[in-house]
Amino acid sequence: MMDSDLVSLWLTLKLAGVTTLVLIVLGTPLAWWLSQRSRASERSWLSNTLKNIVEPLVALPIVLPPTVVGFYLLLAFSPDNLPGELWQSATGTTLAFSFYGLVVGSAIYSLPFYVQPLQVSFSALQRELIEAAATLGASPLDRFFSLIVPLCRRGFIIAICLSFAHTVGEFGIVLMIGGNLPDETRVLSIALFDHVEALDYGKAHILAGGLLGFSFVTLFLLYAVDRRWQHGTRTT
Amino acid sequence: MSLSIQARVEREGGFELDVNVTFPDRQVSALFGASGSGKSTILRLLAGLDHIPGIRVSFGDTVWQDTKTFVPPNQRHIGYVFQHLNLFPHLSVSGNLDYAEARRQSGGGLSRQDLLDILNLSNLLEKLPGQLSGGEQQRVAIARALLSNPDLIVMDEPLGSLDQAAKNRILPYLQRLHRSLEIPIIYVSHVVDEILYLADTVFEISAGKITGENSVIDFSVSGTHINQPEAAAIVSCRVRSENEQHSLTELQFEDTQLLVSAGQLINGESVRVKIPARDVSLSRKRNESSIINVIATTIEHIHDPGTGASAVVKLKCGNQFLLALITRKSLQELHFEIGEPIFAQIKGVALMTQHDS
Amino acid sequence: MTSSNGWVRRKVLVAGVLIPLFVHSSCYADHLRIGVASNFRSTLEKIATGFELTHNTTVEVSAASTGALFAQVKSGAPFDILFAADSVRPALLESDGHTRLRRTYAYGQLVFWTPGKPANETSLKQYKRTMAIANPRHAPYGKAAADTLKIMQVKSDRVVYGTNIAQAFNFVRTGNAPAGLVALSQIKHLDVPAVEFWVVPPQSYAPIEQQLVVLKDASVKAELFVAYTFDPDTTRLIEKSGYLVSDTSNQTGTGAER
Repeated sequence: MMDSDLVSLWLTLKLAGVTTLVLIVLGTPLAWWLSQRSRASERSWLSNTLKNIVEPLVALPIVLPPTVVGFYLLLAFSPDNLPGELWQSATGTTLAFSFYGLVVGSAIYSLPFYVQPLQVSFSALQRELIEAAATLGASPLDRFFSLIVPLCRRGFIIAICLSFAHTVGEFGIVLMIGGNLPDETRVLSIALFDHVEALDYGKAHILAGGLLGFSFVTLFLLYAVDRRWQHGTRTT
Repeated sequence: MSLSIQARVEREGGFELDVNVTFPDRQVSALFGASGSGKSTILRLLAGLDHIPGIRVSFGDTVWQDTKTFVPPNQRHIGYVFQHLNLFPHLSVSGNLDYAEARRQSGGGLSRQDLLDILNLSNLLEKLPGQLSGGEQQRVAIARALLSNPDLIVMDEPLGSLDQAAKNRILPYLQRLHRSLEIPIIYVSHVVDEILYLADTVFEISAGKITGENSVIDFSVSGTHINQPEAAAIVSCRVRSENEQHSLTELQFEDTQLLVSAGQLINGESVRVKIPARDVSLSRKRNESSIINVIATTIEHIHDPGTGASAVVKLKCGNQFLLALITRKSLQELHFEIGEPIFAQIKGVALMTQHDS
Repeated sequence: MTSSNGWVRRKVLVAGVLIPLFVHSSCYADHLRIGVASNFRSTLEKIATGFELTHNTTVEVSAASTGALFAQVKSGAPFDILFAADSVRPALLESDGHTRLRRTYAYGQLVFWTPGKPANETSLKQYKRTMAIANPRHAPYGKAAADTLKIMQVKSDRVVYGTNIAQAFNFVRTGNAPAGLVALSQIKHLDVPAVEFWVVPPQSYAPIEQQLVVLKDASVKAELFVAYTFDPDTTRLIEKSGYLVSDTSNQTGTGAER
């Protein structure tokens, strides 16, 4: 039985890792877009309005119960509905009960934990620095990697760590759409729940304690690194 | 290649930009005006940092912006020196220069070593921007802008955040650069002194409109700024000979001569000379006096502001002009008249050591 | 300034109104609190309504998972009767001394459900795709389903577990799983067309015994409620809801549907 818990551990880390990667790719441009607010002018009215809608949408998963997200995801994943249907015809299987379905659910659920710290970091950037880089011949992509990423290192690290840790702890969504498959969707939080339901408190203690310890250590390190940063450089 | 911009921009709140100006090639063009007059806006539009539709910007034959086109700033090859420091804080001086060098436009231009020498940066290379003084930071910023081998340079009040001592140290560097470069420089400032020191052509701007275009010499003796205490005349002279016995150099100024402290000057060289108004006094007679520069002029114009202690008198000498700052009391007591011949006694003559354009 | 009589009358009036509010309702002999496992809730509510009418006693029903109810009782929740969905937890409560009566009130029935397709023994044995069942480790219907799959030698592509029978049902209902082994009571509740489901013969799995317990300190009316539950009319109601009431070894699949 310990073996299956190890598999769950591996699944959990894999889920958190893949989800974080997805968030880096999709969440970074989103965070950048939200952080750039142009001054009032007719041209930027539409863009700003769109941002005013998207921003609270991104924040929704923080306040919504995961069961709500899970509920809608279950419906969306169903082959009777469009998203599920598209996936089914493309891959031959359902999104529900699959690792990829969990990735989709986790990415949505951990989105604000990635986007928000990064967005804050981006907005604190001095615009003139980026303009200076442009005048030196750096294209937008060049400016992003050569200047913005190094200057926003702290924001990136916080965003990555938070979304990783948050996904490790995820339960409600996986419960709703995972199906408890040992090699694919039984992550640690589900395994823990199983142990409790089966009244196997000994194993439950081990997993719960492990999760608690992991979360604490992650946050502790995050704060410690952040403190060192404050005393070191004065970049954002 | 000359740079031109045509822009008519109306904004809510009444600010309007209405300009149609061409900046000449190979010169330092100054854009002179008070804060809020639109100087920085024009620069940002020229560089493409702000994108307002409906304006037209072109450089030589290349159109940078019109109704159909917009060339982004990273493709315009402009060296831009901002007023506030834009050195990348996470890179050393050397790193900042590397950044520019890696994206440098090919084909000539000052080399890294050239710039290190001209701007005297060799001993600063390993430092971080936060460890540099204001003046040092600006020198690095200038070097970095030049290291990208731009086709033109734009400086937006580059000395604005420096104290007077730092400014005085940097101005010679800027002059040296002007001599080493063959590209146009557009220099924005509201400080007359800097303009007199560096510019060849001066564009005056007020409330979004260009109100005047003059050579710097004409600018120095006209306009509202001449009532400021730093008012000075810029005159063009030619080096005649050295008086080694007294460590003086003789300059040919119109029909007469000016004596200045000996500098490293070449015979026959054209130089620009700055004569502060406060160092010029007027006399109806040529006296025996310790002042060695006494010039015969005629009074061209008298500006009496009506209040305060001082007035400015504009004097004509040949084809050029001088300014004299005198007390209103003297003005009233001596009854100067326009057209009257008068001697200008000049106490201080500053050589600006520039070639005439 | 009124007479002392008036003053006393007002005090008595106030007391008469306030005091009953503070008297705990369980002090009344004719009030029952019942905890019920979620899957039996609708049936129990019908039983409770009938009981209230005939016995002049109010019945308060709380529904939750068996596990949650179990935990609540162990922490001292004031239930009189617990209707669990299994027999494990009632047995535990009894061995811990919390109960004075434990009895099987129904047997759950497993059905094979394939929405939109005909369901029968053959289609179950030949079923290859995703199958949704309750978690065999801790859900009673789950164990039965696992047993069934083994006996019928079903080689489905993958078997997904719902955390309880309700979730397994939901997986099938939303279309994410094309088929599942669910409870007959759920099928009846939803009014599923007969051709879509097949009642699995009870011999295929260990009986899904659902037991009730009367708690130690329960009201005296509790035994009355239990007796009412085994009343023939009530029994018929329970069977109609999709359960078996007597021992499964004497019943056939079709008999239980009536």
